[in-house]
Amino acid sequence: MLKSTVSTLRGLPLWCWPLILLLLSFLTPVFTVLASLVTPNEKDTWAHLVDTVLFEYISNTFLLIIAVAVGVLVLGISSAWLVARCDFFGRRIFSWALVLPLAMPAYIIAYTYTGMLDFSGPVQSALRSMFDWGYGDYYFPEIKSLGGAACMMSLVLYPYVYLLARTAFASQSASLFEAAQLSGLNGWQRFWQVSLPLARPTIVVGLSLALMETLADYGTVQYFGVNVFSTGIFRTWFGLDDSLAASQLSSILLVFVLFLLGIEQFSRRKASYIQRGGHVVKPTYLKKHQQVYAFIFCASVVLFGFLLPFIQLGYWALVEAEQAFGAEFWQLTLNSVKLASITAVLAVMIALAFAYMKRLTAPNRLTASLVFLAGLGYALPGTIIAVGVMQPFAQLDHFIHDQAARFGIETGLIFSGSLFMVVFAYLIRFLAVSLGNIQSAMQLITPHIDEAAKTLGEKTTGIVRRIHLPLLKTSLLSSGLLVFVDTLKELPATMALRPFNFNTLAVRSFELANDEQLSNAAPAVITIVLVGLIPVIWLNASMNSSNQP
Amino acid sequence: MSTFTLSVSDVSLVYPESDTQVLNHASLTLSKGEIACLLGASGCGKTTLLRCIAGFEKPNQGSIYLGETLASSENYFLAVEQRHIGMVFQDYALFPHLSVRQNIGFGLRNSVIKKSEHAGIVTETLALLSLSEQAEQYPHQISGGQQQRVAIGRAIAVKPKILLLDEPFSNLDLHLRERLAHDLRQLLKTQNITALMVTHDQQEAFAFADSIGVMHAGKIEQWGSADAVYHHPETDYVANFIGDGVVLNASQAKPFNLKPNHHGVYVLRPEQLKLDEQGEYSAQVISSHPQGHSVLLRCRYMPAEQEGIELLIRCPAHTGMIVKDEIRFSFS
Repeated sequence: MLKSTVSTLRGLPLWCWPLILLLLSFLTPVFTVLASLVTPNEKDTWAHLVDTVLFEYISNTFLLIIAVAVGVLVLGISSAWLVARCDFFGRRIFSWALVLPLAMPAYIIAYTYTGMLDFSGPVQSALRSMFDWGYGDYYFPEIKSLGGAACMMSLVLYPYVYLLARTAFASQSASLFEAAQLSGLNGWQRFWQVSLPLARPTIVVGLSLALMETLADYGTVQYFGVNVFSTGIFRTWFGLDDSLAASQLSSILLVFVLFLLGIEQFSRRKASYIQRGGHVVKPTYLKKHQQVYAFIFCASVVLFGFLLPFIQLGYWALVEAEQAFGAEFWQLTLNSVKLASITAVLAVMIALAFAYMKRLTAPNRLTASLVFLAGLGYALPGTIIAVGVMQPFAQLDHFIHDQAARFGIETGLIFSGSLFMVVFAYLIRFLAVSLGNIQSAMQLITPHIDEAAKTLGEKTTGIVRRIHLPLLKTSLLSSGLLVFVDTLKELPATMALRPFNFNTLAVRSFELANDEQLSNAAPAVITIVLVGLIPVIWLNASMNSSNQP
Repeated sequence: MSTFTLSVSDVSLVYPESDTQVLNHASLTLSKGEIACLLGASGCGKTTLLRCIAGFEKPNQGSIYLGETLASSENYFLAVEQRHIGMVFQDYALFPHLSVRQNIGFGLRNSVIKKSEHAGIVTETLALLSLSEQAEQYPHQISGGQQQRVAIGRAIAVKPKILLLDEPFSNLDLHLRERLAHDLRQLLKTQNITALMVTHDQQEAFAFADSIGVMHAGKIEQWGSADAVYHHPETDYVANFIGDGVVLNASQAKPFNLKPNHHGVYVLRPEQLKLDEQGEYSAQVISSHPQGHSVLLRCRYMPAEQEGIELLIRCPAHTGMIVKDEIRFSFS
């Protein structure tokens, strides 16, 4: 095993080496977290955590995952089934409108619902004045709770399941259902015994993606005061000032993540085995009263997941427009756009380089698996990345400082607290987005296409310029855009790693919301949502077109 | 040096990873305007030989000349883009972002042809392949047959020294293939283009080629005209691979007074025998295989003092022979 690895390494061309080193550097957070497990902690933080909050972190994280899983499965599968397999009034509009909640980060929907549903919010105020109730006269569910957090996350994360399940349901072969009908299965039985089992691997992929987002969330749980891993890591790091214990906590979160990642990868493989083709099933035209139910269901999902919070945010933004869209807002936007553009350009360039390395060294297993690993960063929560990036860079800074001091040079801290570190963290998390996109576009350029160009007298540079670039152009642009938007929304890593006094739209809106200044946060928040809509619309369009025969 | 358009001599290729010999001392020559075909089952090395000629694979041994230019030898290798070869791929490999016109004109920019002539050549090629109406369309908008013609047009527009075709008909409807192979032959003949095609389909090969090379296990078993390969197969493999028939050894050929070839065998084709009530020989029907217009009968002939010999006889469909019938036959 080792021998063959060494011999594959020797066979690699020289230009691969810098890329492989870069690739390995993207695994830094995982190395840091793993290393923390074997590093003795001199402070007694760990013992303190075990005695007090560790069990709560584990059980809360577990409960949250279960609750969100149930939520996204119910919302995602039923809406997907209605849109893919039933025909009712409004189906076409719902087909894309049901994707909109994906543009709402969970922490944003959490602010808005809190604003709407807390004691002084419009809903409770209206109830009180309507029934002449006073404080304590009635029961109203507390939104700032674990259940509330699960609701918020389900409302914005179900589109992962919806999108994948919709494609799976819509592409199932009609003959399967004819066969099932001939064996005497009724509609309900056909759903449970044929459709659902066939779509299951695809649905599980969507579910694991949604749950990875749940684990990665920091804004919602922190705002709601729910103690889970991501908040615990932050508190240990900044509150107890023990970054080693924070890493050690991260390692437990990493176990959760790896478990989900394993399920996702396994299901992806399984999903690809299921044959498609032949005539696909035609949607059933629903009866009048069924149409009403279907309409109400889909409409309320879109209403609560997107429209209502969007309108509320728009209202706040308008009310506060004069002072909110001031100089600070533009500075925040500039900061966010700057960070997001740098990250997007770098992510596209690096992903392109990795994709070419894999293509040109194919069928080399080593480069293929390294590139595969680099594409798994999306599973790492921002918190883990922040913890895992900060420590090695701080150590590097201290090392440089000490070395320079010998020569009487004062370097200060070079990397920690620099934008470089923030961008590096973003790249770890979002490289997967650009890499996946570019790789799938590159797969369409078959080796025969390159060979055909060669027989027509074209050299390698000409092939790249005349064939590859034009064919990859769209996916380079779209993957850059996706990274841009994801970066703009990112919260925990930005908050932990940003330079002192450097704010972005996401960070500032989180701070304002935490200070109970919800309406002041609205302009920043609505900007994030509007920008977030771009990739959602694009994603939906591309899934629709790939779904056509 | 060679007076042939293509001359492959003694080419061998071993894949070091798996230590498999893909090509085993393969040799062939093509004259200007000759159309040839490499025929063989999948995995026989025919596509690999084609890729060696194109320059996508480097043989370990032997040489390849394109006209008087050395393309490949043990210590020399000419890059693909300098070989001036046209190639039609099995999946056509059309450039998806370019229109039919742009696809056909793709190689002209790198050729020696003057720029002022490019547009004229493309228009001519489009007309030649009946693609003028599709000129501005993109590959995904046209039919499979049209895509194939674009691939051919793109390859011949640059006036290559030789056209290589890798199973060009395999993605098309079965009933179209033979006709298309024949049409393509006409086109290449009128343009005087030298071509080498790879296929596993005999009918295609017979419809297309002047010469056929039957390949097996990396070796060219026999190289000759369609007639020679069919009627005078030189090896057992060729005899069994091409057409229906039975291979008789010297003693089995004796009762029929047939003269074995220099390998000591005779290939008896079903067309050579006919049912005949006054026939000299008698046999028993073992099985019958209806083929629409005719029936192929598998029979056992029992000559004196010998084990039975199985023979194939083709007879008209209306004769109504069934298994175990005694028949009489003679040579036609």
